[in-house]
Amino acid sequence: MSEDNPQVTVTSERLQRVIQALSFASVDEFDQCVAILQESDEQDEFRELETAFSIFVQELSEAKQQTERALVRVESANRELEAKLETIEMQQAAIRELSTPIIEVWTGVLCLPVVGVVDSQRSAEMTETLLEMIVAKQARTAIVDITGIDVMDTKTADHFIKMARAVRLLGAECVISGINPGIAQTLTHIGVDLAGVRTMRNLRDALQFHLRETEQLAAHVKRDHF
Amino acid sequence: MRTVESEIGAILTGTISAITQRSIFNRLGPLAARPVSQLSSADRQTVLSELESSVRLFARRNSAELIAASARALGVDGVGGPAAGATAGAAGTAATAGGTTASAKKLPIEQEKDIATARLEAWSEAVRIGLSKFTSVKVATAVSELARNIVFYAGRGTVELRVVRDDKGTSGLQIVATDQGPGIPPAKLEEIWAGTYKSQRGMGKGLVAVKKLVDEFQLDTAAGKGTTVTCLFRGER
Amino acid sequence: MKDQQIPIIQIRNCLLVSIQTELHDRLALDLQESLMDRVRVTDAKGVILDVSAVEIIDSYITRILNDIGKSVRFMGAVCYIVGIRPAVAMTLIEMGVELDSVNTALTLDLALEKLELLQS
Repeated sequence: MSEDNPQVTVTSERLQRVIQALSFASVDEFDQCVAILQESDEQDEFRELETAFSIFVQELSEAKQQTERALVRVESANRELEAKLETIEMQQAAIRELSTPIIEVWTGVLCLPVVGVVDSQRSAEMTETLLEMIVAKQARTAIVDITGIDVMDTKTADHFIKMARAVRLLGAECVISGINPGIAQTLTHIGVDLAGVRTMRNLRDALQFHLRETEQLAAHVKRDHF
Repeated sequence: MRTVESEIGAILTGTISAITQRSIFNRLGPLAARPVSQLSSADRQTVLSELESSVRLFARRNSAELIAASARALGVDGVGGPAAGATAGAAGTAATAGGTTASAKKLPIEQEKDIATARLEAWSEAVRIGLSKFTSVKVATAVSELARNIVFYAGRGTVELRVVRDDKGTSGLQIVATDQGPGIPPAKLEEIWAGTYKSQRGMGKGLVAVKKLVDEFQLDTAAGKGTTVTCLFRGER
Repeated sequence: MKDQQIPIIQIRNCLLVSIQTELHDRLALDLQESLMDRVRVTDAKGVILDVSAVEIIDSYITRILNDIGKSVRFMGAVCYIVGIRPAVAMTLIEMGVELDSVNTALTLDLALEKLELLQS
Protein backbone atom coordinates (compact mmCIF):
# COMPACT_ATOMS: atom_id res chain seq x y z
CA MET A 1 0.00 0.00 0.00
CA SER A 2 1.60 3.27 -1.04
CA GLU A 3 1.18 6.46 0.91
CA ASP A 4 -0.43 8.51 -1.87
CA ASN A 5 -2.99 5.84 -2.66
CA PRO A 6 -4.38 4.73 0.70
CA GLN A 7 -6.95 1.96 0.96
CA VAL A 8 -10.29 2.67 2.61
CA THR A 9 -11.88 -0.16 4.47
CA VAL A 10 -15.64 -0.10 4.78
CA THR A 11 -17.87 -2.54 6.60
CA SER A 12 -20.48 -4.28 4.51
CA GLU A 13 -23.13 -2.74 6.78
CA ARG A 14 -22.12 0.80 5.76
CA LEU A 15 -22.12 -0.18 2.11
CA GLN A 16 -25.54 -1.66 2.64
CA ARG A 17 -26.71 1.62 4.16
CA VAL A 18 -25.52 3.62 1.16
CA ILE A 19 -27.30 1.28 -1.22
CA GLN A 20 -30.44 1.53 0.85
CA ALA A 21 -30.13 5.32 0.82
CA LEU A 22 -29.76 5.29 -2.94
CA SER A 23 -32.75 3.06 -3.39
CA PHE A 24 -34.78 5.56 -1.36
CA ALA A 25 -33.48 8.31 -3.62
CA SER A 26 -34.47 6.38 -6.71
CA VAL A 27 -38.07 6.22 -5.57
CA ASP A 28 -38.10 9.94 -4.76
CA GLU A 29 -37.86 9.59 -1.01
CA PHE A 30 -35.03 12.06 -0.62
CA ASP A 31 -35.54 12.94 3.05
CA GLN A 32 -35.18 9.33 4.11
CA CYS A 33 -32.19 8.98 1.83
CA VAL A 34 -30.41 11.96 3.37
CA ALA A 35 -31.32 10.80 6.86
CA ILE A 36 -29.67 7.43 6.27
CA LEU A 37 -26.59 9.03 4.74
CA GLN A 38 -26.16 11.32 7.73
CA GLU A 39 -26.62 8.54 10.29
CA SER A 40 -23.02 7.42 10.29
CA ASP A 41 -20.58 9.07 12.69
CA GLU A 42 -17.34 7.60 11.38
CA GLN A 43 -14.77 10.12 10.31
CA ASP A 44 -13.01 8.57 7.33
CA GLU A 45 -12.87 9.12 3.55
CA PHE A 46 -15.98 7.04 2.98
CA ARG A 47 -17.76 9.51 5.27
CA GLU A 48 -16.75 12.24 2.81
CA LEU A 49 -18.28 10.21 0.01
CA GLU A 50 -21.47 9.89 2.02
CA THR A 51 -21.54 13.63 2.63
CA ALA A 52 -20.98 14.32 -1.05
CA PHE A 53 -23.79 11.94 -1.86
CA SER A 54 -26.12 13.59 0.58
CA ILE A 55 -25.37 17.04 -0.88
CA PHE A 56 -25.96 15.72 -4.35
CA VAL A 57 -29.24 14.15 -3.30
CA GLN A 58 -30.37 17.37 -1.64
CA GLU A 59 -29.59 19.28 -4.80
CA LEU A 60 -31.42 16.67 -6.84
CA SER A 61 -34.41 16.88 -4.52
CA GLU A 62 -34.49 20.66 -4.89
CA ALA A 63 -34.23 20.47 -8.68
CA LYS A 64 -36.95 17.85 -8.81
CA GLN A 65 -39.26 20.00 -6.72
CA GLN A 66 -38.67 22.92 -9.04
CA THR A 67 -39.46 20.81 -12.06
CA GLU A 68 -42.63 19.55 -10.42
CA ARG A 69 -43.74 23.09 -9.64
CA ALA A 70 -43.06 24.10 -13.23
CA LEU A 71 -45.02 21.08 -14.43
CA VAL A 72 -47.97 22.02 -12.26
CA ARG A 73 -47.89 25.52 -13.72
CA VAL A 74 -47.78 24.16 -17.28
CA GLU A 75 -50.59 21.77 -16.54
CA SER A 76 -52.86 24.43 -15.16
CA ALA A 77 -52.07 26.61 -18.16
CA ASN A 78 -52.96 23.65 -20.38
CA ARG A 79 -56.23 23.12 -18.57
CA GLU A 80 -57.07 26.76 -18.99
CA LEU A 81 -56.30 26.56 -22.68
CA GLU A 82 -58.44 23.46 -23.07
CA ALA A 83 -61.33 25.14 -21.28
CA LYS A 84 -60.99 28.10 -23.64
CA LEU A 85 -60.94 25.84 -26.69
CA GLU A 86 -64.04 24.11 -25.43
CA THR A 87 -65.79 27.45 -25.03
CA ILE A 88 -64.84 28.37 -28.58
CA GLU A 89 -66.17 25.07 -29.88
CA MET A 90 -69.42 25.53 -27.98
CA GLN A 91 -69.77 29.04 -29.34
CA GLN A 92 -69.13 27.81 -32.86
CA ALA A 93 -71.83 25.19 -32.44
CA ALA A 94 -74.20 27.84 -31.13
CA ILE A 95 -73.40 30.11 -34.07
CA ARG A 96 -73.96 27.25 -36.50
CA GLU A 97 -77.32 26.52 -34.99
CA LEU A 98 -78.33 30.16 -35.03
CA SER A 99 -77.16 30.59 -38.57
CA THR A 100 -79.66 28.30 -40.26
CA PRO A 101 -83.02 29.95 -39.78
CA ILE A 102 -85.53 28.71 -42.28
CA ILE A 103 -88.63 30.81 -42.76
CA GLU A 104 -91.85 29.77 -44.41
CA VAL A 105 -92.43 33.02 -46.28
CA TRP A 106 -95.49 31.82 -48.17
CA THR A 107 -97.57 28.68 -48.32
CA GLY A 108 -95.20 26.09 -49.71
CA VAL A 109 -92.26 28.49 -49.95
CA LEU A 110 -89.27 28.23 -47.63
CA CYS A 111 -86.57 30.83 -47.42
CA LEU A 112 -83.06 30.22 -46.15
CA PRO A 113 -81.08 33.44 -45.75
CA VAL A 114 -77.36 32.66 -45.69
CA VAL A 115 -74.96 34.99 -43.90
CA GLY A 116 -71.23 34.67 -43.44
CA VAL A 117 -68.75 32.02 -44.39
CA VAL A 118 -70.03 28.77 -45.84
CA ASP A 119 -67.66 25.84 -45.42
CA SER A 120 -68.46 22.23 -46.28
CA GLN A 121 -69.60 21.36 -42.76
CA ARG A 122 -71.94 24.32 -42.52
CA SER A 123 -73.32 23.82 -46.00
CA ALA A 124 -74.00 20.16 -45.21
CA GLU A 125 -75.83 21.16 -42.05
CA MET A 126 -77.83 23.83 -43.87
CA THR A 127 -78.78 21.41 -46.61
CA GLU A 128 -79.85 18.73 -44.13
CA THR A 129 -82.05 21.19 -42.25
CA LEU A 130 -83.51 22.57 -45.47
CA LEU A 131 -84.34 19.11 -46.85
CA GLU A 132 -86.02 18.08 -43.59
CA MET A 133 -88.06 21.29 -43.62
CA ILE A 134 -89.12 20.83 -47.24
CA VAL A 135 -90.52 17.41 -46.39
CA ALA A 136 -92.11 18.57 -43.13
CA LYS A 137 -93.78 21.61 -44.71
CA GLN A 138 -94.44 19.98 -48.09
CA ALA A 139 -92.78 23.01 -49.65
CA ARG A 140 -92.68 23.27 -53.42
CA THR A 141 -90.05 25.96 -53.56
CA ALA A 142 -86.96 26.70 -51.50
CA ILE A 143 -85.37 30.11 -51.88
CA VAL A 144 -81.75 30.31 -50.78
CA ASP A 145 -80.97 33.99 -50.33
CA ILE A 146 -77.26 34.78 -50.40
CA THR A 147 -77.48 38.58 -50.08
CA GLY A 148 -75.42 38.21 -46.90
CA ILE A 149 -72.53 36.54 -48.63
CA ASP A 150 -69.61 38.74 -49.59
CA VAL A 151 -67.13 36.34 -51.08
CA MET A 152 -67.90 33.47 -53.40
CA ASP A 153 -65.25 31.06 -54.60
CA THR A 154 -65.53 27.86 -56.63
CA LYS A 155 -65.87 25.78 -53.48
CA THR A 156 -68.66 27.87 -52.00
CA ALA A 157 -70.45 27.95 -55.34
CA ASP A 158 -70.16 24.18 -55.47
CA HIS A 159 -71.84 23.92 -52.06
CA PHE A 160 -74.83 25.90 -53.33
CA ILE A 161 -75.04 23.88 -56.54
CA LYS A 162 -75.13 20.70 -54.46
CA MET A 163 -77.78 22.18 -52.20
CA ALA A 164 -79.95 23.04 -55.19
CA ARG A 165 -79.52 19.55 -56.65
CA ALA A 166 -80.48 17.89 -53.37
CA VAL A 167 -83.62 20.03 -53.15
CA ARG A 168 -84.51 19.09 -56.71
CA LEU A 169 -84.07 15.38 -55.90
CA LEU A 170 -86.85 15.68 -53.35
CA GLY A 171 -89.04 17.13 -56.06
CA ALA A 172 -89.02 20.75 -54.97
CA GLU A 173 -87.72 23.78 -56.85
CA CYS A 174 -84.61 25.58 -55.61
CA VAL A 175 -84.03 29.23 -56.37
CA ILE A 176 -80.89 31.12 -55.41
CA SER A 177 -81.53 34.80 -54.92
CA GLY A 178 -79.49 37.83 -53.92
CA ILE A 179 -76.41 37.30 -56.03
CA ASN A 180 -74.73 40.71 -56.00
CA PRO A 181 -72.96 42.12 -59.07
CA GLY A 182 -69.54 41.45 -57.54
CA ILE A 183 -70.28 37.78 -57.00
CA ALA A 184 -71.89 37.48 -60.41
CA GLN A 185 -68.67 38.82 -61.95
CA THR A 186 -66.44 36.53 -59.89
CA LEU A 187 -68.53 33.52 -60.80
CA THR A 188 -68.23 34.33 -64.47
CA HIS A 189 -64.54 35.02 -64.06
CA ILE A 190 -63.71 31.75 -62.31
CA GLY A 191 -65.93 29.89 -64.70
CA VAL A 192 -68.51 28.48 -62.30
CA ASP A 193 -71.37 26.93 -64.17
CA LEU A 194 -74.65 27.60 -62.45
CA ALA A 195 -76.51 25.78 -65.18
CA GLY A 196 -79.42 23.90 -63.74
CA VAL A 197 -79.67 26.25 -60.79
CA ARG A 198 -82.34 28.91 -61.04
CA THR A 199 -81.08 32.30 -59.93
CA MET A 200 -83.03 35.47 -59.16
CA ARG A 201 -81.89 38.97 -58.37
CA ASN A 202 -83.62 39.23 -55.03
CA LEU A 203 -86.09 37.60 -52.69
CA ARG A 204 -89.01 39.52 -54.21
CA ASP A 205 -88.28 38.26 -57.71
CA ALA A 206 -87.89 34.74 -56.38
CA LEU A 207 -91.25 34.87 -54.62
CA GLN A 208 -92.85 36.32 -57.71
CA PHE A 209 -91.39 33.48 -59.72
CA HIS A 210 -92.92 30.93 -57.39
CA LEU A 211 -96.32 32.58 -57.52
CA ARG A 212 -96.21 32.75 -61.30
CA GLU A 213 -95.28 29.07 -61.40
CA THR A 214 -98.15 28.01 -59.18
CA GLU A 215 -100.51 30.20 -61.15
CA GLN A 216 -99.35 28.56 -64.31
CA LEU A 217 -99.80 25.20 -62.64
CA ALA A 218 -103.33 26.18 -61.81
CA ALA A 219 -103.86 27.30 -65.38
CA HIS A 220 -102.77 23.87 -66.60
CA VAL A 221 -99.72 24.86 -68.51
CA LYS A 222 -97.12 22.22 -69.19
CA ARG A 223 -93.88 22.86 -67.41
CA ASP A 224 -92.06 19.58 -67.54
CA HIS A 225 -89.73 18.85 -70.37
CA PHE A 226 -90.61 15.19 -70.59
CA MET B 1 -39.31 -22.49 3.85
CA ARG B 2 -40.42 -20.58 0.80
CA THR B 3 -40.20 -17.04 2.05
CA VAL B 4 -40.85 -13.93 0.01
CA GLU B 5 -37.12 -13.29 -0.02
CA SER B 6 -36.15 -16.74 -1.28
CA GLU B 7 -38.91 -16.89 -3.91
CA ILE B 8 -38.47 -13.40 -5.30
CA GLY B 9 -34.71 -13.58 -4.86
CA ALA B 10 -34.61 -16.60 -7.17
CA ILE B 11 -36.43 -14.58 -9.82
CA LEU B 12 -34.29 -11.47 -9.46
CA THR B 13 -30.97 -13.30 -9.39
CA GLY B 14 -29.16 -12.90 -12.67
CA THR B 15 -30.53 -9.42 -13.27
CA ILE B 16 -30.14 -7.72 -9.93
CA SER B 17 -27.01 -8.10 -7.78
CA ALA B 18 -27.23 -9.68 -4.37
CA ILE B 19 -26.35 -6.45 -2.62
CA THR B 20 -29.11 -4.54 -4.43
CA GLN B 21 -31.54 -7.34 -3.70
CA ARG B 22 -30.71 -6.92 -0.02
CA SER B 23 -31.72 -3.29 -0.09
CA ILE B 24 -34.91 -4.14 -1.94
CA PHE B 25 -35.83 -6.71 0.72
CA ASN B 26 -34.84 -4.27 3.43
CA ARG B 27 -37.52 -1.94 2.16
CA LEU B 28 -40.06 -4.73 2.46
CA GLY B 29 -39.29 -4.99 6.18
CA PRO B 30 -40.67 -8.04 8.06
CA LEU B 31 -42.73 -9.09 4.99
CA ALA B 32 -39.54 -10.28 3.29
CA ALA B 33 -38.96 -13.05 5.83
CA ARG B 34 -42.57 -14.30 5.82
CA PRO B 35 -43.44 -17.52 3.99
CA VAL B 36 -45.33 -16.79 0.76
CA SER B 37 -48.15 -19.13 1.80
CA GLN B 38 -48.86 -17.07 4.90
CA LEU B 39 -49.30 -13.73 3.14
CA SER B 40 -52.72 -12.10 3.12
CA SER B 41 -53.88 -10.76 -0.23
CA ALA B 42 -53.25 -7.20 0.99
CA ASP B 43 -49.71 -8.25 1.89
CA ARG B 44 -49.20 -9.70 -1.55
CA GLN B 45 -50.31 -6.43 -3.14
CA THR B 46 -47.99 -4.45 -0.85
CA VAL B 47 -45.03 -6.65 -1.73
CA LEU B 48 -45.80 -6.43 -5.40
CA SER B 49 -46.19 -2.67 -5.55
CA GLU B 50 -42.98 -2.29 -3.52
CA LEU B 51 -41.25 -4.56 -6.04
CA GLU B 52 -42.72 -2.67 -8.96
CA SER B 53 -41.26 0.61 -7.79
CA SER B 54 -37.80 -0.73 -7.01
CA VAL B 55 -37.28 -3.43 -9.63
CA ARG B 56 -38.10 -1.00 -12.40
CA LEU B 57 -35.18 1.15 -11.34
CA PHE B 58 -32.62 -1.58 -11.18
CA ALA B 59 -33.70 -3.71 -14.11
CA ARG B 60 -34.94 -1.41 -16.80
CA ARG B 61 -34.97 -3.79 -19.72
CA ASN B 62 -36.81 -6.80 -18.38
CA SER B 63 -38.52 -5.27 -15.36
CA ALA B 64 -41.98 -6.11 -16.71
CA GLU B 65 -41.05 -9.79 -17.02
CA LEU B 66 -39.52 -9.86 -13.56
CA ILE B 67 -42.59 -8.25 -12.01
CA ALA B 68 -44.92 -10.59 -13.86
CA ALA B 69 -42.85 -13.57 -12.70
CA SER B 70 -42.89 -12.23 -9.14
CA ALA B 71 -46.65 -11.81 -9.34
CA ARG B 72 -47.01 -15.42 -10.41
CA ALA B 73 -44.74 -16.53 -7.58
CA LEU B 74 -46.86 -14.55 -5.14
CA GLY B 75 -50.07 -15.86 -6.66
CA VAL B 76 -51.46 -12.39 -7.44
CA ASP B 77 -54.00 -12.35 -10.24
CA GLY B 78 -54.52 -9.80 -12.92
CA VAL B 79 -50.99 -8.49 -12.99
CA GLY B 80 -49.56 -8.17 -16.42
CA GLY B 81 -53.06 -6.84 -17.06
CA PRO B 82 -51.90 -3.41 -18.13
CA ALA B 83 -49.28 -4.95 -20.41
CA ALA B 84 -51.74 -7.38 -21.99
CA GLY B 85 -54.29 -4.60 -22.48
CA ALA B 86 -51.75 -2.43 -24.21
CA THR B 87 -50.90 -5.04 -26.83
CA ALA B 88 -54.56 -5.76 -27.56
CA GLY B 89 -55.18 -2.05 -28.09
CA ALA B 90 -52.18 -1.70 -30.36
CA ALA B 91 -53.27 -4.62 -32.54
CA GLY B 92 -56.69 -3.05 -32.97
CA THR B 93 -55.43 0.33 -34.09
CA ALA B 94 -55.67 0.47 -37.84
CA ALA B 95 -53.54 2.32 -40.30
CA THR B 96 -55.95 5.05 -41.29
CA ALA B 97 -57.96 5.52 -38.13
CA GLY B 98 -56.64 8.06 -35.71
CA GLY B 99 -57.91 6.32 -32.65
CA THR B 100 -58.36 3.08 -30.82
CA THR B 101 -60.73 0.32 -31.72
CA ALA B 102 -63.49 -0.15 -29.19
CA SER B 103 -65.31 -3.00 -30.89
CA ALA B 104 -65.40 -4.78 -34.22
CA LYS B 105 -67.87 -6.84 -36.17
CA LYS B 106 -66.98 -8.93 -39.21
CA LEU B 107 -69.64 -9.74 -41.79
CA PRO B 108 -69.15 -12.39 -44.47
CA ILE B 109 -70.14 -11.24 -47.97
CA GLU B 110 -70.77 -14.20 -50.25
CA GLN B 111 -73.99 -13.63 -52.12
CA GLU B 112 -76.34 -10.86 -53.10
CA LYS B 113 -78.53 -11.06 -50.04
CA ASP B 114 -75.48 -10.45 -47.84
CA ILE B 115 -75.28 -6.94 -49.31
CA ALA B 116 -78.62 -5.99 -47.79
CA THR B 117 -77.73 -7.65 -44.50
CA ALA B 118 -74.39 -5.82 -44.35
CA ARG B 119 -75.88 -2.41 -44.99
CA LEU B 120 -78.60 -2.89 -42.39
CA GLU B 121 -76.01 -4.07 -39.89
CA ALA B 122 -73.83 -1.04 -40.71
CA TRP B 123 -76.76 1.28 -40.33
CA SER B 124 -77.79 0.03 -36.92
CA GLU B 125 -74.17 0.09 -35.79
CA ALA B 126 -73.84 3.73 -36.91
CA VAL B 127 -77.04 4.69 -35.10
CA ARG B 128 -75.92 2.76 -32.01
CA ILE B 129 -72.65 4.66 -31.65
CA GLY B 130 -74.45 7.98 -32.03
CA LEU B 131 -73.74 9.06 -35.60
CA SER B 132 -76.37 11.44 -36.99
CA LYS B 133 -79.33 10.23 -39.04
CA PHE B 134 -77.76 11.58 -42.23
CA THR B 135 -74.33 10.11 -41.54
CA SER B 136 -75.82 6.73 -40.65
CA VAL B 137 -77.50 6.54 -44.05
CA LYS B 138 -74.16 7.45 -45.66
CA VAL B 139 -72.47 4.66 -43.68
CA ALA B 140 -75.07 2.14 -44.86
CA THR B 141 -74.75 3.34 -48.46
CA ALA B 142 -70.95 3.09 -48.40
CA VAL B 143 -71.15 -0.46 -47.02
CA SER B 144 -73.69 -1.31 -49.69
CA GLU B 145 -71.31 -0.12 -52.43
CA LEU B 146 -68.32 -1.97 -50.99
CA ALA B 147 -70.25 -5.20 -50.38
CA ARG B 148 -71.63 -5.06 -53.91
CA ASN B 149 -68.15 -4.66 -55.33
CA ILE B 150 -67.09 -7.78 -53.41
CA VAL B 151 -70.01 -9.87 -54.70
CA PHE B 152 -69.61 -8.65 -58.28
CA TYR B 153 -65.86 -8.68 -58.68
CA ALA B 154 -64.41 -11.07 -56.12
CA GLY B 155 -67.30 -13.40 -55.40
CA ARG B 156 -66.67 -13.45 -51.69
CA GLY B 157 -65.04 -11.45 -48.96
CA THR B 158 -65.76 -9.70 -45.69
CA VAL B 159 -66.88 -6.30 -44.47
CA GLU B 160 -65.67 -5.39 -41.02
CA LEU B 161 -67.24 -2.63 -38.96
CA ARG B 162 -64.94 -1.21 -36.31
CA VAL B 163 -65.97 1.33 -33.75
CA VAL B 164 -63.02 3.66 -33.20
CA ARG B 165 -62.54 6.42 -30.64
CA ASP B 166 -60.61 9.55 -31.49
CA ASP B 167 -58.48 11.45 -28.97
CA LYS B 168 -61.55 13.32 -27.73
CA GLY B 169 -63.39 10.06 -27.07
CA THR B 170 -65.85 10.56 -29.94
CA SER B 171 -66.88 7.33 -31.62
CA GLY B 172 -66.49 6.95 -35.35
CA LEU B 173 -66.98 3.97 -37.62
CA GLN B 174 -64.26 2.35 -39.66
CA ILE B 175 -65.24 0.08 -42.52
CA VAL B 176 -62.79 -2.49 -43.85
CA ALA B 177 -63.90 -4.36 -46.96
CA THR B 178 -61.56 -7.21 -47.87
CA ASP B 179 -61.54 -9.81 -50.62
CA GLN B 180 -59.07 -12.24 -52.13
CA GLY B 181 -60.41 -11.58 -55.61
CA PRO B 182 -58.55 -10.68 -58.80
CA GLY B 183 -57.52 -7.23 -57.54
CA ILE B 184 -57.64 -4.06 -59.61
CA PRO B 185 -54.87 -3.58 -62.20
CA PRO B 186 -53.26 -0.10 -62.18
CA ALA B 187 -54.60 0.89 -65.61
CA LYS B 188 -58.14 0.08 -64.54
CA LEU B 189 -57.65 1.94 -61.29
CA GLU B 190 -56.63 5.04 -63.20
CA GLU B 191 -59.81 4.83 -65.26
CA ILE B 192 -61.88 4.38 -62.12
CA TRP B 193 -60.53 7.53 -60.49
CA ALA B 194 -60.84 9.44 -63.76
CA GLY B 195 -64.49 8.38 -63.88
CA THR B 196 -64.12 6.84 -67.31
CA TYR B 197 -64.30 3.21 -66.23
CA LYS B 198 -67.43 1.23 -66.95
CA SER B 199 -67.74 -2.48 -66.40
CA GLN B 200 -70.11 -4.71 -68.29
CA ARG B 201 -72.53 -4.48 -65.43
CA GLY B 202 -72.43 -0.72 -65.59
CA MET B 203 -70.76 -0.41 -62.24
CA GLY B 204 -67.38 1.11 -61.53
CA LYS B 205 -68.74 4.23 -59.94
CA GLY B 206 -69.05 2.60 -56.54
CA LEU B 207 -65.47 3.19 -55.40
CA VAL B 208 -65.51 6.83 -56.47
CA ALA B 209 -68.84 7.28 -54.71
CA VAL B 210 -67.54 5.75 -51.48
CA LYS B 211 -64.41 7.89 -51.59
CA LYS B 212 -66.50 11.04 -51.85
CA LEU B 213 -68.73 9.93 -49.00
CA VAL B 214 -66.18 9.09 -46.32
CA ASP B 215 -63.78 11.15 -44.21
CA GLU B 216 -60.77 8.91 -44.81
CA PHE B 217 -60.21 6.46 -47.63
CA GLN B 218 -57.49 3.94 -48.36
CA LEU B 219 -57.34 1.38 -51.13
CA ASP B 220 -54.87 -1.50 -51.19
CA THR B 221 -55.00 -3.73 -54.22
CA ALA B 222 -52.70 -6.01 -56.12
CA ALA B 223 -53.50 -8.08 -59.17
CA GLY B 224 -54.18 -11.64 -58.12
CA LYS B 225 -54.02 -10.87 -54.42
CA GLY B 226 -57.29 -9.14 -53.75
CA THR B 227 -58.47 -5.74 -52.62
CA THR B 228 -58.86 -4.07 -49.26
CA VAL B 229 -60.73 -0.80 -48.86
CA THR B 230 -60.40 0.90 -45.50
CA CYS B 231 -62.49 3.96 -44.83
CA LEU B 232 -63.57 6.00 -41.88
CA PHE B 233 -66.62 7.98 -40.87
CA ARG B 234 -65.62 10.37 -38.13
CA GLY B 235 -67.86 10.86 -35.14
CA GLU B 236 -69.69 14.16 -34.84
CA ARG B 237 -69.28 16.39 -31.84
CA MET C 1 -86.56 -14.25 -52.50
CA LYS C 2 -88.16 -15.36 -55.72
CA ASP C 3 -91.74 -15.27 -54.45
CA GLN C 4 -91.34 -11.68 -53.24
CA GLN C 5 -92.75 -9.20 -55.72
CA ILE C 6 -93.50 -5.52 -55.71
CA PRO C 7 -97.16 -4.88 -56.65
CA ILE C 8 -97.90 -2.54 -59.53
CA ILE C 9 -101.21 -0.70 -59.17
CA GLN C 10 -103.01 0.97 -62.01
CA ILE C 11 -104.99 4.16 -61.44
CA ARG C 12 -106.61 5.37 -64.65
CA ASN C 13 -103.75 5.66 -67.11
CA CYS C 14 -101.05 5.75 -64.52
CA LEU C 15 -99.03 2.93 -62.96
CA LEU C 16 -98.22 3.22 -59.31
CA VAL C 17 -95.45 1.30 -57.58
CA SER C 18 -94.99 1.71 -53.88
CA ILE C 19 -91.74 0.13 -52.77
CA GLN C 20 -92.31 -0.94 -49.19
CA THR C 21 -89.47 -3.35 -48.78
CA GLU C 22 -85.70 -3.30 -48.65
CA LEU C 23 -84.84 -2.95 -52.32
CA HIS C 24 -82.37 -5.72 -53.01
CA ASP C 25 -80.87 -6.16 -56.43
CA ARG C 26 -82.88 -9.08 -57.77
CA LEU C 27 -86.12 -7.41 -56.72
CA ALA C 28 -85.16 -4.17 -58.44
CA LEU C 29 -84.35 -5.95 -61.68
CA ASP C 30 -87.61 -7.93 -61.56
CA LEU C 31 -89.50 -4.72 -60.98
CA GLN C 32 -87.87 -3.09 -63.97
CA GLU C 33 -88.92 -6.02 -66.16
CA SER C 34 -92.51 -6.36 -65.00
CA LEU C 35 -93.01 -2.60 -65.07
CA MET C 36 -92.03 -2.41 -68.73
CA ASP C 37 -94.46 -5.22 -69.48
CA ARG C 38 -97.26 -3.40 -67.77
CA VAL C 39 -96.51 -0.10 -69.50
CA ARG C 40 -96.72 -1.92 -72.82
CA VAL C 41 -99.92 -3.81 -72.00
CA THR C 42 -101.82 -0.98 -70.32
CA ASP C 43 -100.65 1.88 -72.50
CA ALA C 44 -100.03 3.87 -69.34
CA LYS C 45 -98.96 7.48 -69.76
CA GLY C 46 -97.25 7.81 -66.42
CA VAL C 47 -95.30 5.70 -63.95
CA ILE C 48 -94.90 6.76 -60.36
CA LEU C 49 -92.39 5.06 -58.08
CA ASP C 50 -92.93 5.82 -54.42
CA VAL C 51 -89.63 5.33 -52.61
CA SER C 52 -90.61 7.00 -49.33
CA ALA C 53 -90.10 3.72 -47.50
CA VAL C 54 -86.69 3.08 -49.06
CA GLU C 55 -84.05 4.09 -46.61
CA ILE C 56 -80.93 3.38 -48.58
CA ILE C 57 -80.34 4.01 -52.29
CA ASP C 58 -76.84 3.33 -53.57
CA SER C 59 -75.30 3.87 -57.00
CA TYR C 60 -76.52 0.50 -58.27
CA ILE C 61 -80.16 1.10 -57.33
CA THR C 62 -79.84 4.61 -58.73
CA ARG C 63 -78.75 3.13 -62.02
CA ILE C 64 -81.76 0.83 -62.08
CA LEU C 65 -84.08 3.75 -61.33
CA ASN C 66 -82.44 5.76 -64.13
CA ASP C 67 -82.83 2.78 -66.47
CA ILE C 68 -86.52 2.51 -65.59
CA GLY C 69 -86.89 6.25 -66.24
CA LYS C 70 -85.23 5.97 -69.65
CA SER C 71 -87.20 2.91 -70.74
CA VAL C 72 -90.46 4.49 -69.63
CA ARG C 73 -89.61 7.57 -71.65
CA PHE C 74 -88.74 5.47 -74.70
CA MET C 75 -92.21 4.01 -74.45
CA GLY C 76 -93.74 7.46 -74.55
CA ALA C 77 -94.61 7.74 -70.88
CA VAL C 78 -93.33 9.86 -68.00
CA CYS C 79 -91.67 8.51 -64.87
CA TYR C 80 -91.82 10.18 -61.48
CA ILE C 81 -89.95 9.20 -58.35
CA VAL C 82 -91.68 10.45 -55.23
CA GLY C 83 -90.79 10.55 -51.57
CA ILE C 84 -86.99 10.47 -51.72
CA ARG C 85 -85.86 10.86 -48.13
CA PRO C 86 -83.66 13.83 -47.22
CA ALA C 87 -80.80 11.60 -46.05
CA VAL C 88 -80.96 9.60 -49.29
CA ALA C 89 -80.93 12.80 -51.38
CA MET C 90 -77.97 14.11 -49.38
CA THR C 91 -76.05 10.85 -49.81
CA LEU C 92 -76.64 10.68 -53.57
CA ILE C 93 -75.53 14.30 -54.02
CA GLU C 94 -72.37 13.77 -51.98
CA MET C 95 -71.52 10.60 -53.88
CA GLY C 96 -71.85 12.55 -57.11
CA VAL C 97 -74.43 10.05 -58.34
CA GLU C 98 -77.03 11.56 -60.64
CA LEU C 99 -80.66 10.50 -60.67
CA ASP C 100 -81.32 12.43 -63.84
CA SER C 101 -83.42 10.21 -66.06
CA VAL C 102 -86.50 10.54 -63.90
CA ASN C 103 -88.66 13.40 -62.66
CA THR C 104 -89.06 13.89 -58.95
CA ALA C 105 -91.97 15.05 -56.86
CA LEU C 106 -92.38 15.53 -53.13
CA THR C 107 -95.51 13.42 -52.80
CA LEU C 108 -97.68 11.05 -54.72
CA ASP C 109 -100.36 13.73 -54.83
CA LEU C 110 -98.05 16.28 -56.43
CA ALA C 111 -96.77 13.75 -58.93
CA LEU C 112 -100.32 12.87 -59.98
CA GLU C 113 -101.08 16.58 -60.29
CA LYS C 114 -98.06 17.13 -62.52
CA LEU C 115 -98.90 14.10 -64.64
CA GLU C 116 -102.47 15.27 -65.06
CA LEU C 117 -101.22 18.63 -66.30
CA LEU C 118 -99.08 16.91 -68.90
CA GLN C 119 -102.03 15.05 -70.29
CA SER C 120 -104.53 17.88 -70.34
